[in-house]
Amino acid sequence: MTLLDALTAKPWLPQPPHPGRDAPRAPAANVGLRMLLGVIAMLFALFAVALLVRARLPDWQALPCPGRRRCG
Amino acid sequence: MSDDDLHAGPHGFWTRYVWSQDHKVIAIQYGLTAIAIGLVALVLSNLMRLQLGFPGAFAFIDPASYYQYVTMHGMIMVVYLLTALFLGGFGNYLIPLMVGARDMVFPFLNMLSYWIYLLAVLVLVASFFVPGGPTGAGWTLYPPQAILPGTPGTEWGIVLMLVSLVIFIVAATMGGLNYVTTVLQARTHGMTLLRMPLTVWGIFVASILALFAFPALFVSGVMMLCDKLLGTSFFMPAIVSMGQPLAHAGGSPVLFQHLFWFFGHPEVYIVALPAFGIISDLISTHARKNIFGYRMMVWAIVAIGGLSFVVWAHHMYVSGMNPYFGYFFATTTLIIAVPTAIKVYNWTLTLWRGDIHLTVPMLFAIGFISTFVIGGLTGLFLGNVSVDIPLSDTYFVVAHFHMVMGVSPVLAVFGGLYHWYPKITGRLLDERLGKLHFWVTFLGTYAIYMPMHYLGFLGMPRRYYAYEGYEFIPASAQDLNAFITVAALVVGVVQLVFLFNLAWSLRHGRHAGANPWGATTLEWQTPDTPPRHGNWGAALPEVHRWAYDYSVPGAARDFIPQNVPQEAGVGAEGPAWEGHA
Ligand code: HEM
Ligand SMILES: [Cu+2]
Repeated sequence: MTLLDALTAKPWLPQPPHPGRDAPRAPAANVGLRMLLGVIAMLFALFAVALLVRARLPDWQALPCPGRRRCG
Repeated sequence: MSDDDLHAGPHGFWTRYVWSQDHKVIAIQYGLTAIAIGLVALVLSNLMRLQLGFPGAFAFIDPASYYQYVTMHGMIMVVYLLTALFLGGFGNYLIPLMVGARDMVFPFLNMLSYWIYLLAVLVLVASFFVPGGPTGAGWTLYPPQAILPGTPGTEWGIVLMLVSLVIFIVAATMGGLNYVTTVLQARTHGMTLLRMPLTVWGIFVASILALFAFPALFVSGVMMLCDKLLGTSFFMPAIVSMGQPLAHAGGSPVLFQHLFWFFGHPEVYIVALPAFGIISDLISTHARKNIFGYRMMVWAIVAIGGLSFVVWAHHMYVSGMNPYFGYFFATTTLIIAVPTAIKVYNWTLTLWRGDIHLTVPMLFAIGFISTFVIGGLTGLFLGNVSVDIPLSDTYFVVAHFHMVMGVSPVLAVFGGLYHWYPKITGRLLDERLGKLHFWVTFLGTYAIYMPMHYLGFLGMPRRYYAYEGYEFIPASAQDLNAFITVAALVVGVVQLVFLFNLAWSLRHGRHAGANPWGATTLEWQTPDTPPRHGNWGAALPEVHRWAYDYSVPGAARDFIPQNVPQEAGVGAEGPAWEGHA
């Protein structure tokens, strides 16, 4: 059953007495990890947005170059 | 290992009740901790009301402590009480039972989540005892004032607040990953997504919101800590403070507001969606009727969850933003009203011609609809830029948000506790005390917040310690304020009745049996009440129907539990409400 099928089901109507076995599921750790990566992506995205907004303000200074080498 | 060992659970007191990985014990730990810290917030609100009702009569409430009370009251109520109680308390207890699982999918992480939450609470409480006391920046913690001298608690208080929030977010993330994954991966055979009770749907979507909204608070918290401790200027503009130019320059306070409200608005729905779900189930169960428009209810929860990420700037109409921006956010805000209104209609239509049992949980559920409609309507006013601007930062706003996200979710919490307490303890809460608790709380909150709407129209600003010498505020406003304070004290005191009931009924309440309300959902079909470790004994339940087969024509009883097989003729005639007419 696809997600869309699942979410458009009409659970109040009569159902076949033995709905087939449930679709096989990925291991829980797999799904949990994907969610965690989503959260971390959100965290990075928000840090990045905040930094970019701040960097557009007039007094922003790039980090000084380490050592005496010239960067870029 | 024999089957008995498998489900007997750990034996010693410590592993069983303290370092427990059982979702039911963790739920109770979360619940009790949240209620305990919530009581602190309640006391703080009564202290504020004492000052507002009887200005200057209590010498120990000086302006600085008033601001600290406002801040700690708001933050505790929203984050440490309601968020923790709905997700960590109700979510933990109900998700595995309602979807037919033995536990959360990551029990160890679940335990860790509670202990980290407790740490966050302790750090927050510690800020009452540090030099300078807790922060008085308001629960929104807006810079620059949050870290500038002149605001209470700018030395220690604000640092502890931000650290505590960061810790809380770690705990909430651990919990949220668990709740979401359990719903997705651990449903028992036959429990399709659209057979889940709406309580699970509400908590599930709220957990997703929490996972993706809290990072914004995390980011703003970390950056503000840098501004405070490391001398950066993310949010701090150039400022002359008490004659001295500060070291900060160039930062953007409005950037903080965007980050904060990108979290803050979904946060409203983090506490509202679980309440929606709980109320739906209470109404359906106690009106003995299937929920009207189940699928619409699910979609409304999902739609509200999605939309809640694109309305945040309606909290910033007065921040000087581009008018087109305001136009956009007013539009999205009004669009969110559509699925929300659908839910209210569906609750009312569920009640329509139901076999309504005015049990205590049902009273709270009906009370919720009433307060939520009032708070929602004033929200429509405030969503419009031109109406919001004169009302912004007045008591009209205080009245609005208390009705919609203070009182309403709290009523849902109470309704839920009266409803599920028998499953948790095996005994019913006392009904007479429950009714007393309901009526005083319900009427009391109207007595508190109705006059506040009017005070807001008069222009009485919020977050003020005293109101002497404002020509536009008539002297009679003070009488109203005294009245509100008396009502708030009464409401505060009656919560003691509830606490007494919780404790007393544990020993002396009427025995509930397995399913006192005649409910269909799985948590009421456990072999033991309270459910033992592993919940289901030897075999997991198998689900054959949706969660709302109440008053099905032709059925022997007026409810058919979800794990009862479909037999010819029973529950097979289409929507039960058709047969009800
Ligand atoms: C008997 C119950 C309650 C009373 C009497 C009460 C009273 C108050 C008062 C007097 C203020 C400060 C007004 C001001 O000076 O601006 C306030 C602020 C606030 N309250 Fe409540 N409150 C109650 C329950 C709740 C609940 C359940 C919530 C949960 C959402 C809540 C959330 C807030 C928030 C977020 C603020 C704003 C804090 C700020 O301005 O920074 N309150 N409340
Ligand atoms: Cu909002």
